[in-house]
Amino acid sequence: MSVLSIQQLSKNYGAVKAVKSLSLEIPRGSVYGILGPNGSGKSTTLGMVLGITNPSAGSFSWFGERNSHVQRQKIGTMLESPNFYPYLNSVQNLRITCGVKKVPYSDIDRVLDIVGLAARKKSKVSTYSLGMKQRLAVANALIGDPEVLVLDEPTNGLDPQGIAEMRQIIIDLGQQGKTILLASHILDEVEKTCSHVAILKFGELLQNGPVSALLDGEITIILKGGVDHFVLVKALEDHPLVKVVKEVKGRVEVQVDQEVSSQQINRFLGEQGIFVAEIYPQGNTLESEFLKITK
Amino acid sequence: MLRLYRLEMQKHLPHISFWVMMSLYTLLTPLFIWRMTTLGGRGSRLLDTFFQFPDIWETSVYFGSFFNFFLGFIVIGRITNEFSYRTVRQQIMDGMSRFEAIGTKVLFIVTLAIWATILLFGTTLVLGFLRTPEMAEVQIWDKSINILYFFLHALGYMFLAMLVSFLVKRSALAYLLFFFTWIGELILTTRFAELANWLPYHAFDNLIFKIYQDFTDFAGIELSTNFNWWLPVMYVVIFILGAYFLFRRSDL
Repeated sequence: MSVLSIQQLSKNYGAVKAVKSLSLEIPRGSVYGILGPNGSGKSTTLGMVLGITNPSAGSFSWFGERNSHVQRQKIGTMLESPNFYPYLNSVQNLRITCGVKKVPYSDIDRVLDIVGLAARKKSKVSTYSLGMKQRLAVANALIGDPEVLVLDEPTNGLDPQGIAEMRQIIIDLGQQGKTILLASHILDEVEKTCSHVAILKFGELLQNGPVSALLDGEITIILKGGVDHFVLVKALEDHPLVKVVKEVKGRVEVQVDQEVSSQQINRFLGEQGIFVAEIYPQGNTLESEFLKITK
Repeated sequence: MLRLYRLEMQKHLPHISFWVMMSLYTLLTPLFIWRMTTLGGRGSRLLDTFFQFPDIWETSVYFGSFFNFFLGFIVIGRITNEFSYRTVRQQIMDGMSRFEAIGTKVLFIVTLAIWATILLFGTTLVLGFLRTPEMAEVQIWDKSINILYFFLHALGYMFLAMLVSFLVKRSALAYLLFFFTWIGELILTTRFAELANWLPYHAFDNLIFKIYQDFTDFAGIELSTNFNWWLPVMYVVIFILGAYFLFRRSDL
């Protein structure tokens, strides 16, 4: 069952179409990454489903119900920059969130512990570093132990240790069965944490589905040295299973289906009296797929 | 409602500059009225009745209303803060409806208006007792209804400030616009005098101009001040609905 169902959602800013007729289903329990270059409509899409941006057309529903503010109380959100009253401390800020979400104040200590801010909970937010504000924003999203979390660039502004901790928090939450919607342009982060991805560009959905399915398909085999690369390319072009072959940065890259092994390629070359110095397969990364799709 | 009220007050009560502004207001208003109502001085007995019960209700309401601009400025500061900190955006995402968001501001403004009215009521009562020579001969509460007109006047100025804040969202712009609506109305009335009493500031100010009526009656000048209470009430409703519809349509 879908936690969030988006149908034909669009947003226009004057002549600019920020999101174009986007339809997407977010399955319950998935860690769903939304990828896209800057300006691809990630944040606009999240803004619409979270009630802060009015859609130009289309609709969406949370938990299969008609959209209303009551459903948002069951969602933890963190969009772009952390938003707090600088003259209040963590506890005072989170009390306001508790008030909005109708959650008892007793939940505040729990969430501050999770993000490691308990020691500074009585300091004004204006004295916090960006990383601490980011942690507080995550704590804010965790108030009321929501079933769904929507996080936009959650590791923004964190130091390497903070990034690792944040990633662990997200993985832990995913393992607890929470549905997480994660917008990011750090592909490595998404690959390490997400079960599903959607790729947007210029407001359009280019691809979506489980990460494993996206990384399936073609692989690249790298060949290098021992023979003139021109001869190598010429020979490989005749191989029936080779899809693309090209010379890139002093090495030859061969794209083949996943079932084709380096061994097969090597044997084929050997039969023609061609022996290369190096041959190895390179698995697909989300980054290579992403760049291919958004090209 | 109590939940929203508590939530709203949690934003303001710990804020130092809010306390400074409110303390200034609480100190300056009685001081100013006291200064104004003693202007008649011991020498000119002629005007003394204006500073005694029951006329003093009209006098202090008039002078007290000068500070409703100040209350408007406080409201602009508090509301535009929510936009610059983007906390209003976070609270909508966290599950507050836009209707509730406007509702909390209405509660806040009504609270300020009640405080201003209580302050004025107390000040007038004290000054009236001090200045009225023969208490037995006067009807103390005769014109005390003016306190309610003051309440409406304060609401009017603050809800206009709220509308302006939701319109431009930035503090400096909102202060300017609030000021320019006032200037704008002045300019408009010099060109279209017959329109004047229908415009918002005039409608609100007519509520607290009773003292002029008494003064001109006293001086034998004919002057119509066009007092009515329903036009200001209508403006208050328009300001609140206007702010709501603006806010409902805006992207945060």
